[in-house]
Amino acid sequence: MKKILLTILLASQIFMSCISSEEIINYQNFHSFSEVIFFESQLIDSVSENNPQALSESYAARGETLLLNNQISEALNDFCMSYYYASQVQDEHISPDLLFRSLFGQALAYAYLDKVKEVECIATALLDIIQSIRCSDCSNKTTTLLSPRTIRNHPIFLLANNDNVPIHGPDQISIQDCIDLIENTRAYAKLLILKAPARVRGILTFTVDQLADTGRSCCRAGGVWKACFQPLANKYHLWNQKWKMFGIPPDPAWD
Amino acid sequence: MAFRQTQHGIKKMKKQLFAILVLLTSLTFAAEEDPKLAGDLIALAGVTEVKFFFLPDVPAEKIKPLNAIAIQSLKKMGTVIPKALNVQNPTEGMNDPNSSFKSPSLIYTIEKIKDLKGNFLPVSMATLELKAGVTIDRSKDYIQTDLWKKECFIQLDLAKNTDITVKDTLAYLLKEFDKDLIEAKKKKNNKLVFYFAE
Repeated sequence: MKKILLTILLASQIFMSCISSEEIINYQNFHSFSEVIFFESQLIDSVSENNPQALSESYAARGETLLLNNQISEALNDFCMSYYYASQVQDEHISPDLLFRSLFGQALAYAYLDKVKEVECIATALLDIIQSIRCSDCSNKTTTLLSPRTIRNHPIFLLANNDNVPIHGPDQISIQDCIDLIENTRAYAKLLILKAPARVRGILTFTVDQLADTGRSCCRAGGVWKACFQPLANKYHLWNQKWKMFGIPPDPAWD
Repeated sequence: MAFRQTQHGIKKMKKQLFAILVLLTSLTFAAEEDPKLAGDLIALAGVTEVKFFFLPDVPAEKIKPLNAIAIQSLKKMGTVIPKALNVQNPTEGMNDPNSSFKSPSLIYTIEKIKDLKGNFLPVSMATLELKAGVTIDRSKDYIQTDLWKKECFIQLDLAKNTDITVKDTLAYLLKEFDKDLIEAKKKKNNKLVFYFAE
């Protein structure tokens, strides 16, 4: 009996760790903050200490929910934990993504706490990460069709490769259309920023602008458009999903 | 005889000089009458639809009632169609000439003004700008640029008189935009289509 229980527990742990690293949490299945926080806490408990990537992601996810639930100090703790585990990840492509996510969360938390110096300091670190991402395989000013395998092996943009929102559409579009997409999404993201409290709008706007500028450079250099668009799309999708669900700010003014 | 010929020649030259002077003067007046059209407004001539982004810097709970005010103002000038971003299928309608994908963006912002010490003044500044992608002839580079932009100031506190401040500034800026559209198109402006971003 013990053996069966142990096997089930082990299987569920493996299953949970797979979810945390491969799947996007669908927030539409939840109805309250406490449900999401409970689920995300379970995820953290289920992940092995030997899996810093999954731990970093799980802490960041719970930190974002705590932030939305106005539990700022708890959120800050989670983002610090997320950063700690992110710095242990050896993969040179995944690590910047995780560091970015945890730093971004910390910046928001400090902004809520009105700690301007800390926000400025983290904003500089965020900028360093964004600028360190190189646009590879796009030296020719063409929209070369790359195979999915090539894209996997030579990721052009990796700020968020684990929580990627699936993007549909043709494999190739023109550089102009790629730039238009980025600019369009930048403007839409600013509509979302208006839903956030005034004290965090500065850091949100800064991040969106940096992601959009880098995305635009990627388009101009002839990068694969989905890869250029992905980081901005991820942020947009995640905010929109969580904010829509929780009606942020919690006010009847928002449907 | 030679004297008469010379006098006739001088008269002819005077007439020619006068004609040149009249021509030059009329050209100068024409340039003064319409100094903007050549450079600034020509880009507006083909604008029939825009994506409208309403971005007032006000607390989030005030946005929804303000959206209704903005839509009312836009309806006076054209047709309003709500438009959300489909981030998972962003190229939707890209090749359809009737979709909003290629439309320029008209962006409205309003914010309180600060002095040099960072203190808020009882003045708000509103801006309406039309942005679009253009290809530079010489370098063939594609960039996003302002095709048209106008600011206005209002001596009202945005925080205390939000509705009236937004309503008045938006109405004024849209009127200016409409005026320049008419000037650029050289005829009464057909109703614009506003894709209202939400």
